[in-house]
This record gives sequence, C-alpha cells and structure tokens, in this order.
Amino acid sequence: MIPEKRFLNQIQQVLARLMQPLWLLDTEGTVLLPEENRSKISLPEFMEPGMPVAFEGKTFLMIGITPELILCADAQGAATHDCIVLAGAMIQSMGRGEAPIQSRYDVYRRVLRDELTGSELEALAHEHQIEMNRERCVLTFQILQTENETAFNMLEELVPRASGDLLVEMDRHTVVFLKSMDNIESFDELYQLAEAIEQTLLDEVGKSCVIGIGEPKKTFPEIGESYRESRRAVEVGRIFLNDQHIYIYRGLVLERFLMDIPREMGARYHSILFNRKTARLFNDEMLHTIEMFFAKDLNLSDTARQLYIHRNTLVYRLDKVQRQTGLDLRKFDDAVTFKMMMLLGKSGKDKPRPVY
Amino acid sequence: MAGLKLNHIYKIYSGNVTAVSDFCLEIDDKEFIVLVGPSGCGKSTTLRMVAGLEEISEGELYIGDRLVNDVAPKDRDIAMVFQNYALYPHMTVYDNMAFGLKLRKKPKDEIDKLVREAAKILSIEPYLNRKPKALSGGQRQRVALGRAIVRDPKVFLFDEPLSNLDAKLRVQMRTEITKLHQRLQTTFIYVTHDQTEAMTMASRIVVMKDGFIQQVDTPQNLYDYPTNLFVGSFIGSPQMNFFNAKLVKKNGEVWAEFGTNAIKVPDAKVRKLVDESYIGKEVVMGIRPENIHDEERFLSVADGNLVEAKVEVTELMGSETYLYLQTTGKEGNVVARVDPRSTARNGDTIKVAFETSRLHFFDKDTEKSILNR
Repeated sequence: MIPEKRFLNQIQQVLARLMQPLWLLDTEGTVLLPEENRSKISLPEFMEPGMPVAFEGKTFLMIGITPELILCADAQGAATHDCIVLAGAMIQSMGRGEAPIQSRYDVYRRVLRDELTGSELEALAHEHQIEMNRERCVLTFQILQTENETAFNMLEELVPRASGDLLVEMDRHTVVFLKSMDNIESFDELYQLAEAIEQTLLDEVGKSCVIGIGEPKKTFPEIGESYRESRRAVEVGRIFLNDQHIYIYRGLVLERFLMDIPREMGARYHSILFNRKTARLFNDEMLHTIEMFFAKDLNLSDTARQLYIHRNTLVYRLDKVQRQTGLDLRKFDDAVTFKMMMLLGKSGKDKPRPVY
Repeated sequence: MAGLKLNHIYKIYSGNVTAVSDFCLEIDDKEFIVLVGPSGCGKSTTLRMVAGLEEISEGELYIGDRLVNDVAPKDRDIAMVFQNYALYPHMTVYDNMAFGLKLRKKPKDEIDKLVREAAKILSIEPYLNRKPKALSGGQRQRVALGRAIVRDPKVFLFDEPLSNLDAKLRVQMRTEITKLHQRLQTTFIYVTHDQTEAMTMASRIVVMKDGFIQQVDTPQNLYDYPTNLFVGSFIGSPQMNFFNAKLVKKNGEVWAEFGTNAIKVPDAKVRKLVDESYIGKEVVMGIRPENIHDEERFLSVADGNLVEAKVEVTELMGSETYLYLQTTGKEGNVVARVDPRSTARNGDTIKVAFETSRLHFFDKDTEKSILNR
C-alpha cells in the first residue's frame, strides 16, 4: 500500500534536509522516494519496526506506522545508523500524528507504544470503556515468515481468550496478547500458555514464532512498560538463547545486564579469554562441550552421556582448558567467570541498539 | 496411513552449512522408524522437513504417492508430538484434546467421539475433566499424545517426546508408545538421542552422524553387525570396547596383538582379513562388554583368547556386574559385563576370556567394518 501523496511530500522534505542520502521503500523493496528512482532493492528477511538492520552493505529501518515503510541507506556504520534512526523516528511521529483513533484497539496500540499519557489516556480509556485498574501482562508474538498472511490472522483463532483478554496487532509480524491476570494463579501458567499457543501454531498453521513475556502490571497505563519488557526479552533472548522460542523478561537478568555493558568494554573482557592464543583451544567442539557442561549443571557424567563422549574425554578437555586458561570449569567460581566472558562475546555480536 | 519416501534430501542453511546430506530412505506403511544420533547429527532437522517446518533444500519427499515438498504443513496429514507436552493450563484435558478439532470446525458430536476414543486408547478417560496441573508428567504426556491421535493423521512424528520425563516414567512411556503403535497401526517416525529408546521401540533404526545416514537396519542387526566404528560405539550400553590391534600371522593362525596381549582370530573371520591384506597392519578391534567373561567355564576352555587385566572398579547392578579393567595396549578402561556372582574385587589382577566369535574389526583409516556379516 502506498501512503498518501501529502504524507510522501512531508517525508521528502525531511529526507531532503539530511546530509546522508536515504531512500524510502515499500515492503516489497520498491523505491518510493526519490521518485525518479523506481528500482527495487532486496530486503533483509526480517525487520522489526525501529530496529536498524545491516544487510548487503546497506542499512534498513522499518518505520512503525501503517502502511509499513522502510528507510534505506546505501552505507553502514555508526553515523548511518544514527541518521536512519532519527529520520525513522521523525517520520513515525509524523505518521502517527496523522492517524486518527478509531477503535479501542487503536487506544491499546498507542498505550502499548507509550504514545498516550495522562489525561488524554484517561479520557480515551473512559470513552472506550477500558478498565484502568485490571492487572494485565503482555505476551508479544513475533512470526518471521508470514508470507501472504499477517501474524494476527494466524493467531486470531488459536489464541484462546477469557474475559479481559485482548489480541492487538502491532505490525505485520507482531501481535500482542494482553492477558488479564484475573484467573492466573502463578506466573508459570503464562509460560505454559505461551508454550501451548506456540505448539498449536506449529500444529495447525505450520509456523514457528518467538514469544516474549513481560511483567504483569496493575494498571492500564503501565501496559506499555510490559510491552517494552516483552520486546526486550525477545531481543535479548534471540542473542543469548537462540535455540529457544519463549523468552521471559524476568528470567533474563544476567543476559540483560550483559547487554547493557558497553560494547567496547564487553569486547575487552571477552578477549581476555577468547583471543588469538586461545583460538585453537576454543574451537566449535570445545565450546559445544563447555556449553553442554554448563547446561548439565557441571555434571560430568550427564554431560558425557549427552555429548556421547567418554567421561575421560570430557575430563581431558576440561583439563586442557584449565592448563591454558587457569580456569577449572568444574569449580563454580571459575565456571561463572568463564560463562560471563563467553556471554560477553555473544552480547557484542550484532548487538542491536534499542531506539524506543 | 501411508509410507514415506525421502529421496536424496538435503538441508543447507545460509552460509553453506549443511545439516542433512543425501538422506535416502523408504519407510513402509505402519512402520516404526527411529532416527537416532548425537546432538547436531541432523535427526530433528530431518523430522522437521518431513513435518514441513523446515524447507527442503534439495531432494524429494513423498508421503504415500504424493510429492509434498511444497505442501503446507497443515495439509500434510501428519501430527507431531514434542518433548514439552504443551497444554493450555486453563483448559480441561477434554478441551485441550478437542481444541485443534474445534479450530478445524469439526462438528461437535464428531469431536466428542474422537476425543473419547483417544482418551480410551490412552487410558485417560477418568481425567477428561481435570486441568493439566492436576495431572502427573506421564499423564500430561498422554494428553499431548491424545491431541495428536484425535487428528487421525497418516503419519505420527515424535521429536524426543520422553526426554522431559524422569527415568522411571520414560521406561513406562516407552512401552505405552510401542503399544500405541501396535494399536493405531500407523506410520511412526521417532527422533531420539537415546539409543536404548531406539533399540526397544523401533522396527528399523536410522543412525545418523554429521547429517549423514550411517546405517539403517533392524535393532538386532545394528547391534550385531555395525557397519562402522561410530555405529558400533553408539549402539549398546555400556559401549563396545575398542583396541588398536595389529594383525599378525603365526604358524598359519592370525592373531590380533595389542600391548602385551594377543587374541587368536577365529578361522571364520580370517579369510576376509587375509583377502583384503590386513595382515601386518593395524586395525581397530571391537568387543562388546557382554562378550568378555571372567567365569571359570569360559576360562577353562580358553584357546588364545585370554587377557590379563587389573580390576579398577566393580559396579554391581543387581542382575549383572560391570568390571572396569585396565590392560596393556588400551588407553582407558575395558568394560566387562559379567555375572553378578563374580568374585572379582577392586585391585585384583584377573584373567578374562574374549568371546572371539563376537569380535568386530574396523579399518583404521575409513573406520568401516571389515567383517560386516
């Protein structure tokens, strides 16, 4: 869908004032601005609104408005990143200012995005009969491969809803399940619910999704915070626990902490253990062995069984690490040190910079 | 019900990472096939390609006579059971089992019939009105199976369904799934890294490593005639003992020498070793723990098959005893599975007899079996 001409003109004026040339694309990759360039550009497989993505030498940013638009710079690097993020935020704010609130879903969407506050929020909640003091929790679903359908269409039927629950479409790939905590006895039930929905989606639609779970909030204005937490959980979880699909904000304290460490400092500490001298030692096999040893709570027999290696082979590998690094991974303190250093490597890779 | 044909299937991820290579397999209708192998061998990826959850990079997949490479997962008529028995916590067992059918807009009476039939098969009828939190782990796993059964699929796919259960329950559910297969008479494809599960349940086992099929055969044949060193070591617990041995010919007889030990190779196995000119070369000799004996009746009739070893550890398992032995020419322990009445004690130096008719020989370079059948 192409945006209105008036809106395109406004965007053109913004882009014209930038030192860094930026293109505006639709979701197919067709260049909308500058108008004289009607070529098509291949897009990265997945983009999340507000999060710049480097791909094939270019930087892309999906703008969180409807219809979805994409900014593209034919360059990469910190300056390009900052420029595209600022331009995106400006266009997003212009776009949202244009869109009228027509339904209670628009109210929810705006509150989730922290775009409504104070008296305006209260008035709209009253107008649309939204309870202000109900405890709710945000579960954010992201489906990467949606093809011709939207994530919302896929999930609409298979997310069972009780009174006070609501499903809100945030964009083509993202859906928020606003779950009332009325009949939820423990937080664990939310995880079970997420698991059941994930599996039903696989069974019935054949699609996989990732799910972020925020913290329950007592009042309506706070749901934006729960949404931010759920998205942060997905963002952090994807980096540190990429074999999982459900990420809980409260369960990712260490990972969030590591993500908050400045990239340069993280890299410095990571290189204490992982450097040119240890590159041969920490090959894929060794790292897999160590990760499994941690996953099995430092239990030698369980790890050996799981890896299908002899226990003595495992002991030999751990001895080798001890000889070269001085860390005996069988000891809790040394294992913690190693784990932190290892995770710092992950947190430095493709670390996205949140823009919200 | 349907058979499957996987024809030269490949799964290649971006960055040219190949997870599954040239996977060729024909699965008969009603067969119980188990894919087994260590983590990262490609077994789950293969299963997910069959389910349609992963795209097939190359090759053809047929379910029955229908090419399904481009068929959406929901239209493949398969049901999948995962290790995490995910149930809706606020729904009853009945509603959990009926949920998928409701989504498919099945009539209410048909749903009721299907749910009750499945509950009967799984012996969970008394729990239909309970919520998942009031069920044990095994009962929950049965409900998860029930969700799959009500769909009446052509093929059931199981992705490590028992790995979240404790050891005792796992053994129980193993039997339940085998009975279920007999009762449903449908094709089962089951993925596990646990070779005991594979051995006890499968009609045929597919052993995988690094994305390649290593061997496809019945559990017994796999155990008796491993096609290579990997299969020999992977199947069997405790695993097969391996020795780097040199084959030498003395007075017309062939001996396998390792350390100060020498084992006479029985005539039946000699011909191939001679024909393929392994004499004078190093090979890998394998013997399973149950083919090493310390009982007098074996020792007294020994003929060039005795090995002297020091007992490092004895483990009494009740019905059998494991002896962890140290001998020359072998790094690490040799494990023997002997009679629980064995008198061997830690620190003893004893003689054990190798059952030479059960020896395996593998090429040291290719790791392939020299004497496979």
